[in-house]
Amino acid sequence: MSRILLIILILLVLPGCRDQKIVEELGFIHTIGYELIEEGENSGKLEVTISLPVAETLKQQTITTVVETSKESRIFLSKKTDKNLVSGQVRSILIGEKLAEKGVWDLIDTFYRDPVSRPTVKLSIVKSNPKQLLSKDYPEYKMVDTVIENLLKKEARLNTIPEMDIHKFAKDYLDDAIDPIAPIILQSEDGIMSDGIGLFSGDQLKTTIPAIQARIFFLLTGEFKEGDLLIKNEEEKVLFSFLTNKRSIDVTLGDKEEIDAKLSIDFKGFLLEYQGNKDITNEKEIEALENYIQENIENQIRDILETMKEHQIDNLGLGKYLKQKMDYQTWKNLDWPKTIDRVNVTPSVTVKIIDTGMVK
Amino acid sequence: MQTEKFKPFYLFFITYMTQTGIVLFMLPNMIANYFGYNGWLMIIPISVFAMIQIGLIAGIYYFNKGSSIFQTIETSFSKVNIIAKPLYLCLSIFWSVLSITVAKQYVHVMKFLYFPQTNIQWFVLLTLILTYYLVTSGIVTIAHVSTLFFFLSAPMIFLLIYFVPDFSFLQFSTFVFNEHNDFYGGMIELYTAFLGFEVTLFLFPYIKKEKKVFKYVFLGHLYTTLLYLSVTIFCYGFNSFQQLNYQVYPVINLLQYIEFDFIERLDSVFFILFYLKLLITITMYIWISLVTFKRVVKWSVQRSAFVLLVVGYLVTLPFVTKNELTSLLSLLAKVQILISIFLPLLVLTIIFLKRRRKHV
Amino acid sequence: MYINKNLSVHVKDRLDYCDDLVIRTFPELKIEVLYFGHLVGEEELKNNILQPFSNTNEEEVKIILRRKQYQQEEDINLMVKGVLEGKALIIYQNSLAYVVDIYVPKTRSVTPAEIETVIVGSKEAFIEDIGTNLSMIRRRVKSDCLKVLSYNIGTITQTKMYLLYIEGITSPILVKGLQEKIKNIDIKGVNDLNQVIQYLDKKPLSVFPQYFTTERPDVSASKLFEGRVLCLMDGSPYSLSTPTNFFEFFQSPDDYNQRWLLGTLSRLLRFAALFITLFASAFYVAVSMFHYEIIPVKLLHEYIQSRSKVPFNPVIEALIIECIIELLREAGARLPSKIGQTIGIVGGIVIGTAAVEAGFTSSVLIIVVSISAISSFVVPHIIMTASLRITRFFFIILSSIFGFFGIIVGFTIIMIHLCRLKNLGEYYLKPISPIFLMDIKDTIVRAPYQFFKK
Repeated sequence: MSRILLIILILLVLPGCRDQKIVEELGFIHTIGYELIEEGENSGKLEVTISLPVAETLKQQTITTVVETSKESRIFLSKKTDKNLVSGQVRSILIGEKLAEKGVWDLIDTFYRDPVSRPTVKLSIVKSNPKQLLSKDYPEYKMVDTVIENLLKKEARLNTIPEMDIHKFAKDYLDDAIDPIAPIILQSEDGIMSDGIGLFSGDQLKTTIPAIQARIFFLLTGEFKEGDLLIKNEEEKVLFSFLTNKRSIDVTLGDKEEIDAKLSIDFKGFLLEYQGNKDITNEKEIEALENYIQENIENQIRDILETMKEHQIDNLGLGKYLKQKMDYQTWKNLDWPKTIDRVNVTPSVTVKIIDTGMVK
Repeated sequence: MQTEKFKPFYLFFITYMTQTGIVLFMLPNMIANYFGYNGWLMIIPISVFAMIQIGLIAGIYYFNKGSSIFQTIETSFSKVNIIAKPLYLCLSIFWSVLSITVAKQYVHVMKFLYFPQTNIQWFVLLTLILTYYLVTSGIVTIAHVSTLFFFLSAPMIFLLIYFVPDFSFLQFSTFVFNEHNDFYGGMIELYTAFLGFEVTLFLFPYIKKEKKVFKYVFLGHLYTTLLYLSVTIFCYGFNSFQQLNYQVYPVINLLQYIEFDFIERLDSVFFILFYLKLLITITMYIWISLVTFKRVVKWSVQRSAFVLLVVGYLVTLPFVTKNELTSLLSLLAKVQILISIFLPLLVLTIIFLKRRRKHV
Repeated sequence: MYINKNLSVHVKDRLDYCDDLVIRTFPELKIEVLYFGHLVGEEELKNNILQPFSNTNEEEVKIILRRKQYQQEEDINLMVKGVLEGKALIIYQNSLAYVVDIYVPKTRSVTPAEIETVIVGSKEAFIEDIGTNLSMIRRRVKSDCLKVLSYNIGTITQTKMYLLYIEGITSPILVKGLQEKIKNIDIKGVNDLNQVIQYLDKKPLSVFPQYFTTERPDVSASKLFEGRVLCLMDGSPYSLSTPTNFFEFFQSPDDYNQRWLLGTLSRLLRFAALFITLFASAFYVAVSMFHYEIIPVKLLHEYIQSRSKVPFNPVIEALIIECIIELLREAGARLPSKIGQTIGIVGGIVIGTAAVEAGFTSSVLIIVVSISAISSFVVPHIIMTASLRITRFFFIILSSIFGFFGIIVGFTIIMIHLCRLKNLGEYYLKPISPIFLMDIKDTIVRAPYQFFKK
């Protein structure tokens, strides 16, 4: 009996598996860019750009096509290359600003649904055209797509842009208590640069927070762990380096429709640079400086909250804290985040300067 | 072949390995779907219910003094064989069909995820040959193999540590079971995830007599519960609730998220490693089917196992698509629930009737 | 066969055409002495034959022959056997026969172990003479509980075999089991213990060695304490111990002679090597043919560049390189050790570099294959190394068919096979499956001696 089974086994095994994906026959898409065409004959169609490394020379190949929906793009793109295009190595998706304003969930869902692509694919919004960004020849870079990937990673670590991947985007998009965010990158004359945070309502890009305010935003989400903070006005300029950061959000439900949220941020750090007319060797002056920084940050927080209220979005996840205090029916009736206006947020920031540097 | 006995210690591995299966990969989604917010709480009462069932089986073991339940049934009434034999045959074929459906479901998911173009029958036949090889080795070897496979697959749980930084208690919210649908249906579905302990009912004659034999079955069951709980809790904390509802295989998404410097996308490695666990589940069901079958037909083990596997294979042959398999499996699982509840009760009744007869 | 008359003629008849037979006669004493000159020691010959019989007369001969060392023998078969075993046969008055043992084997002296070398510990290895080998064991186990049973196997070669065990530690069932197995071997002749093992195998088709052989007397002695049965055979510088388990092949005396932490770590390293040697090449094939998505982006670019020049399918590529490694290994084993080393260097460096530069293989594969080859030599026992190498090819082929699934299927088959293997009633994977928690501290790890059971 076992011999018969052995023969069956061998017969089964011989024809082999049809799913062979031999590495050298594959084109590993590294970055995909999507943009909406608004003018000309192709108006309303999608412009899809992919970049893939050419195995023999390790240079980047960029292919563009114009399609009706994102799903058919693969067919058109693979006509233009000798390799079998696969999406298992896609590392980042670049979405043009125009498309982002229209809605991106369909695109992301395609990736999220695909068992081959990974949930850690980085997502970013491109202010200029993704095609131009990917296909422009930067003599100093061998492969632009990896440069973009590394830039996003580095900037996310420095807390100027969020590290947003498909998983996190889907998580925030599907959650009813928070709206997603995405980093914004820009093609500048001398290269590529990050340019702040894009705030979404649902899957549509509503507004952006400039890079300078982005760190304040991360203070609010509690993700800010380390980094420098620049605070300046006409007279003074303070460069502040963080050591520790504590953030807590305390929500109290008022009698009527009122909801109070107390946002307290508590951080310590040391002064890196100071230009102004305060004497930073004096203890009292330092205290004044602390107060100055506190006020400045509180103002910036108010600005961010104002922006959010204006667009009726909640990218900070205040809703999650509200949820903790409410019962299910109240929460559902709230219709978050349209009612973000009803939340009075009082920011309270405590700054402690530990040291002022190596010299007096 | 079956004069050998194994220590009760192995019941831990057999119970755990038989209980867990492919359902682990879908469990968080299933729970989120059926029980809504904080649905993981439901694992506890269902587990307790299963534990009561194990208690019943333990009771039978003690009353029976470790002899086979077939003997108990067959010696209960004078003409019981007329009813018992056809019943055995039905049960035997049922279990064989059940186990092959379980195998097919796993294979289907594997095909969908990693081998989309390969014919599913190859995987099924390969699995059947391995099952045949394992089941004809005898229960002692099965116990040993399950121990080995346990140690090979158990360290997977440490991967959850990877998600600790991204784990957030905020995701849980304070709602309990809101947004649930079909609460009772869900309870039945969840109970099927614990099925597998009932195979111990047939193991009585093969266990060395020691104190506290069933301690190990309880421990195995507790370990399963713990695994289910930790995986589900991590999924609830890592994903947003709505996202959990959206993913079909949240645990695979979880595994896909893991990235190390030297290796990424561990999901394929671990999902396929899970095959070891699945093989034990299938083998145990085929084994009880075999034991029951041999009560009716006096064939050699090899021949009976072959016939049972072929019958099971042929019966499940028409079921190919995911929906067909899922509905077939949930139907079979429901029948199995009934068996797991009523078979111990039946045997207990017989034991009490016998005792009473003796006293009279 | 008992013959009293004309004994000399009968014996000579049996040993006809054995021109190496030496016949010395002492006509005045009516004594004839028969022996094989190359089996006896000169000193012994002088002491037991030449001296006593040269300066004596007929009366005294009877008294001399009554001495202890001269054993009277009546069976002609035993006389012939005695002569063949290196005894001298003294035929007195053509009717009485005496044998005297003057056997001194001409073998090499004890040399350091060459295959199972250790860093710290005894250097001795067994030699071809069974008596010396037994003495090395007796010297280590000075106990009256060490029992030695003697057998002869091979209908023609009549090779001497000793079965050793320690009474009170070794279970009598094991001794009996092995005894029966040895008795059941029906062969004309054997040359080495490693041949005998293959006759003893319960599952001859298995790739794994089912008996543990070692050339080290210290390891053999420690197997005795562990309750195993030991076998020695004349002409073989190896000892056999049984029941064997899989994990024995991963132990080295170094683990015990060095500090426990180092012992434990090197053991864990060996188990890691086991997995590397089995799966590294198969993993490479599976990744290049099925699961490209698990390659991190930093490795991807270099990897696809090196792959892009290769004209072969990854599995063909891997098999070619594995075969080259096997060729090198075989060539190294056959050549004298100094040339063997050169072959290793030439093969490893020159062929490897040239193959990559010529676009024959990818550099990643060269790394993978050499790591797995090196790992296979980390396993201390050469027999197990060979088994693992064969298994590796099995995994490579399976992984080329079904990717990771193929590897897991192959792994499952091997695991079930190992779990089914039994050796004299003991399971092959003993302390792991069936599990004995107490024994694990000397299997996977090497715990401090204080933790061992007293």
